[in-house]
Amino acid sequence: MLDPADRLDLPDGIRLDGAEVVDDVRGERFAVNPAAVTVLRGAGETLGTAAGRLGAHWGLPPEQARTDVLSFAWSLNDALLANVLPGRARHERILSWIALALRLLPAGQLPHRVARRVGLDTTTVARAAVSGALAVVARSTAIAVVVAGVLAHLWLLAGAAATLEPIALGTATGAGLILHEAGHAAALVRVRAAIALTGRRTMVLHEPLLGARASLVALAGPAVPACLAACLATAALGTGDATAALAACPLGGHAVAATMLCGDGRTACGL
Amino acid sequence: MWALRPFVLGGAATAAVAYVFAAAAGLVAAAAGVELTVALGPVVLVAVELDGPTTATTIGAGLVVVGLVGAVANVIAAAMLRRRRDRGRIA
Repeated sequence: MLDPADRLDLPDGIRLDGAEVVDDVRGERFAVNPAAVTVLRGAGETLGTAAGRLGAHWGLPPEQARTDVLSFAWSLNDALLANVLPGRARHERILSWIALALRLLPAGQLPHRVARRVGLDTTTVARAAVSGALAVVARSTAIAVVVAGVLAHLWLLAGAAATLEPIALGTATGAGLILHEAGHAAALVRVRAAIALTGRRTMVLHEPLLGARASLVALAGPAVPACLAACLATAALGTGDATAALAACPLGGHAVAATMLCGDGRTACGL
Repeated sequence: MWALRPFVLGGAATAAVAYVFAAAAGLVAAAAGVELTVALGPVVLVAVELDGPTTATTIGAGLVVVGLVGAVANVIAAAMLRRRRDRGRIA
C-alpha cells in the first residue's frame, strides 16, 4: 500500500552504481533502466515528487508517471532493495489499510505489507547482537502484547484468576524472537548483514558464507533462546516455579528451528 | 557421515523441546495438586508424585528416547531433502 506522500529510502548496504542497484550485503547487482535511475537519484524525496520529475523528464502523463513510480518503488521494496518511509499519519494509513482489506475480503487476502530492511552493525559481537535485537524490538513487543492479550482472554474464559502466566508467556514469546535474531546477528560479526521484516517473516540477510561459518550463523539463532529455555526450565524445576517453566516453553520452541522443519536447520546441514 | 549433523541437531532439538515442555507440564500439574505420569511404554518422560504436603516432579529417561526418535526423524527428513536436491541437479 504505497502513497505518493511516501518516501523511497536506500538502506545501508544498498547503493546506485551507474545503471545498477548494488546490494553489498547479498553481493548482488540489479540492472535498472534510465527512468529508474532518475527515480533512484531522488531517493529521499516523496514518490509524488519523483513522479512529477519523471513525467517532466520523459514527457509522461502525470497519472502514468505516478503509477510507474509507485510500481517501481513497490518492486524495489519487495526485493528488499529499498525501504518506503510512510509520509502519512498513522491513523490515515490504518484507515487506508482497513479500506483495502475490506476490498480484498472476497478474495480471502490481506493487503501486502511494506517490507523494511535494517542494516546491522557487525563490528563487534556485542554491537551485532544489540543491533539485531533493536531491529526486531518493535515487532517482538507487538507479538508479546498480542499473545499476552489472547492468553489472558482464554485464562479468563477458563475461569482462572491468575494474570501472571499470560504475561510471562507473552513476554517470553516476544523475547524469543529478539534472542533468536540477536543470536544470528552475533554470529555474523565482521560480516555485512541486515535484517528484513516482510509481512510475518523476519529474515537475516548476509554475505554468502561457506562451511562451518554458515552452520554457526544458522544455529546461533535457535541456540540462544533454546539454551535460555533449558536454563529457565532447570531453575524452575529447582524452585518449583510453574510460571517460569511455562515461560520457558515459547523459548524452547525455537529449538525446532534447528531441525529440517525450518530453514536454519537445513542451512546448518548444508541443505 | 552426512547424517551425523542432522542426527545430532534433531536429537538435541527434540530433547530440548521435550525437556522444557515436560518440566512445564510437571510443574503445572504439581501446582494444581494433580498426579501425572507421561510415559512411552515403560520409560517415563515426566512424573509428578504427591506425598502429603510434598510434591516430587521427575524428568525420566523418556527424554533420551524422545531425543533418539527426533534424531532419527531428522535424519530421514534430511535424506529426503538430499534426494530431492540431487534429483533437481540431475534434471
